[in-house]
Amino acid sequence: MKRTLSVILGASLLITFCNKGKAPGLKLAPPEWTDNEINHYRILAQGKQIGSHILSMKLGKSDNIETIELNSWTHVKSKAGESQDSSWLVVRRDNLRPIHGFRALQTGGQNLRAEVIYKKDKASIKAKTPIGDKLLDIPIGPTYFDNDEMTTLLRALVLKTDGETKLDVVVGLGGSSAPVRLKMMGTEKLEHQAGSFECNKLQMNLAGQTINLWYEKTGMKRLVRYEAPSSGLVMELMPVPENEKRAQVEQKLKELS
Amino acid sequence: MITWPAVVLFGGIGIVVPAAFYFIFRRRGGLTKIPAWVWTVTGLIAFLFFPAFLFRKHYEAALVFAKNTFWFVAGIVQMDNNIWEELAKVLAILVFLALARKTGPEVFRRKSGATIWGFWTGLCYGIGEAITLSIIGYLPKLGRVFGVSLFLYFTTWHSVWERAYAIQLHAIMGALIGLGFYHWFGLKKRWWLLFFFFVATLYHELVDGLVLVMKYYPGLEFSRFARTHILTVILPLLLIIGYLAVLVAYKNSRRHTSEVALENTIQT
Repeated sequence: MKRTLSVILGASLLITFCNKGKAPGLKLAPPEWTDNEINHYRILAQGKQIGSHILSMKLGKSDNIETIELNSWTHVKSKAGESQDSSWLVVRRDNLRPIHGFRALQTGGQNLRAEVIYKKDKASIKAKTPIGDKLLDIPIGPTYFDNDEMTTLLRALVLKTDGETKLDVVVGLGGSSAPVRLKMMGTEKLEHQAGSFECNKLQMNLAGQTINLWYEKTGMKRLVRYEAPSSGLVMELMPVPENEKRAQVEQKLKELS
Repeated sequence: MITWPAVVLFGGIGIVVPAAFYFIFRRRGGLTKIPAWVWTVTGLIAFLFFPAFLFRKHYEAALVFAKNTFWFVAGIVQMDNNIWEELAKVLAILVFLALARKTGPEVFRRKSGATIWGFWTGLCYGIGEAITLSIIGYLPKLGRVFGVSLFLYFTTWHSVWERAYAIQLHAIMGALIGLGFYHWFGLKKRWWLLFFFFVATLYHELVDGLVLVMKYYPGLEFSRFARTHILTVILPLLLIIGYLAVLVAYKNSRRHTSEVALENTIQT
């Protein structure tokens, strides 16, 4: 009995120790993250440009933990209306687990804001709306990430070659979490304004909606193309902005963060 | 947080509307024999059947997460929702029939009585929905229990206005089901209850299906129009269609022989 108990205890300690800092079941092979990386995308609907999305990355340190600070800004103007969406998110550099996020959305004359603070077993969400504040804790596990880091996470995630890779995302503004299923679809060569890319094609099922994604196969493994067939939305990588434009973008992101 | 919209929702829609309905209709359609407590208990049961049947949202959400396309959500998930909601009204009426074993069947032998009682059941179910959603919106933790996400749902004047329409939409569905019960008890055509259940389900699909079109096809001309005129044009129009459906069904339902006999007696 004593022996069995010590074996169980030993095995538990070993599992706990081995899992430290890593999400079980999810294997990461991140590229060499570079400080101040900025990626600019154009958003198309039925082949017509309706907006743009800018994503920047800063490397930093917080409480002796190496972090990545992700800033994004999305502006869309279409028949359905105009919206401006910005997010700020800090994640751990070693396992990309989220630490603290903030998102602001302006749409249909409404201003919505949500802050998410991630703890070991829960995500504490605080939403601010013109009508009032709301607080909610969502239980999370080791395979939970923030919705706003998905495109970055997929640069690092090693997908299963046989079958699907499963994880969950926390959606701050929705006060909910949603399942994500990922599948490797092979390789494809893409020709874009930003250049020619040898890509890995991924299929993502986010809360039941299918999204196709193309990532650079090597190097920085940037997202090259995003395609949501159900809504007809496409996002394409644009050439690296010139210095002047880059400064403008950085200023915009600084204001937002 | 006590706000004026919340006061109007809980006090107005929750108490004044059903009370007014009771005082107007208690002496019509042969309902005189139904005591006030049976009205209250049946109304409360219909009210409580909304939260009681809400747990289905757990698997409906899982279905949406499995295949989030318009046709799947509209055709399978939404239809599942409609069937459960109409079933809740049918069960509330069956509970009434079990409570009022003598007077209950009498109500459904009269076309007018059956329609009023169905309307009452649907109305109370709709009030149950309005109050439950408001409470979940205020306490989002409850949303996780029921499997619904109402994190950004607030009880505002806008939502009170919308609920004022929604309770009537449910009442219309209830009235159609009530007519189905009339066919069963009054005309001895049991299977017609299924037909009216199906009509109520389809009417439900029409209402919620339009909302799904707005969600899945936001760029459509209709969706843009509906977003800005949902409370002023779309929902009133759906109510008119619903009331017309009840009127057509009512007019086309043959009267029970006892009703005809009663009318002849009065005329002679």
